[in-house]
Amino acid sequence: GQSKQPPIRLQFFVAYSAPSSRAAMATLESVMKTLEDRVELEVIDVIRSPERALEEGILVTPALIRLFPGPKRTLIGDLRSESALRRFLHDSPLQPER
Amino acid sequence: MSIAAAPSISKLATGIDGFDRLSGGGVPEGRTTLLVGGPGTGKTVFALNTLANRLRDAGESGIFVTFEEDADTLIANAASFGWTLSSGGAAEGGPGIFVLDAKLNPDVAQSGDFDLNGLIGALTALKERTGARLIVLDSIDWLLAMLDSGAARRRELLRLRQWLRQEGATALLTAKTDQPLEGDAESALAYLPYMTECVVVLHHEVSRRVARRWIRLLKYRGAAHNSNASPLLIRSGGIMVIADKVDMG
Repeated sequence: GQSKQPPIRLQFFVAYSAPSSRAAMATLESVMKTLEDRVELEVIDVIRSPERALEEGILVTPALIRLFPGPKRTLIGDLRSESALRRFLHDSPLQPER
Repeated sequence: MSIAAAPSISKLATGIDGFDRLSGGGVPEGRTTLLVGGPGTGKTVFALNTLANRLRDAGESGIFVTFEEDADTLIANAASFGWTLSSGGAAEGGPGIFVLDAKLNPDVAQSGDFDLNGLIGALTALKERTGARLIVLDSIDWLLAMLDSGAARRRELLRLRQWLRQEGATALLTAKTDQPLEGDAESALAYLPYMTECVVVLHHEVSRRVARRWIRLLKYRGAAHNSNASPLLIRSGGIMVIADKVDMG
């Protein structure tokens, strides 16, 4: 069943035209299906919404930002390592990065 | 019917008189100029001075993308020459020189390949907001250092060049390297001269405790120019280049 915790909140800055972004989106989608936690995900294409890239200081894509649970942290790249992605989604500051 | 001279590309005066004489009018407009030289040769000051002069002389806004220096240090450096930079997209209206802080946060985790579409997006938005057509990217080495392979570096240089071309922007790219640009073909830096129409080399030497600086036009596609080294001074008001008129011989 769905855990009662508040959902993980993510922002995902991508460029639909770029291979690394497409690969990352596929990996994130498949990992999210296996998660028990609820996830709120906002996907932003930096080419279609350049203002968002400027305001959020996004330099490279793909860039996955975890807003909650804090502190805000970022993972860039095509997410080729699912384990790195899972750690990124679940690590809380108390838990040292493995 | 006048005999059409070779189509001379239009030039953007930098307002640095000696350089404008050296180059027969300034940097190629709508094209990319590479300012290459070791640390302390005045690349960043030259680029800042050009932005400040365009704002003063032509009321044109400019964008300074900093990959290496903190935005506030850069703003303070510029202020020491009397030039005003504003950070981010703070365009409450009116022309200005806008700093885009493009330093990659060191504690960002990475997993796999990435590209610079984010920078392209941010630049597009800032250019839209400010109407700036002169863009400085300081320095390109730091931009390339973010990328893991020669192929990725060349791909992202091409992406940047394509965006600059499509936007009709005049770009000044600084490159820190002082080893010969022709270096090994693998390094993207050896690739830079092919994507830039104008290459300016700055040199800095200290002998008997006297610092001497020079500037030289290594390449200027499609335009006559004076390619011998000219002394360059960094004064409180900015850059001075001692050069006589280019001989159109």
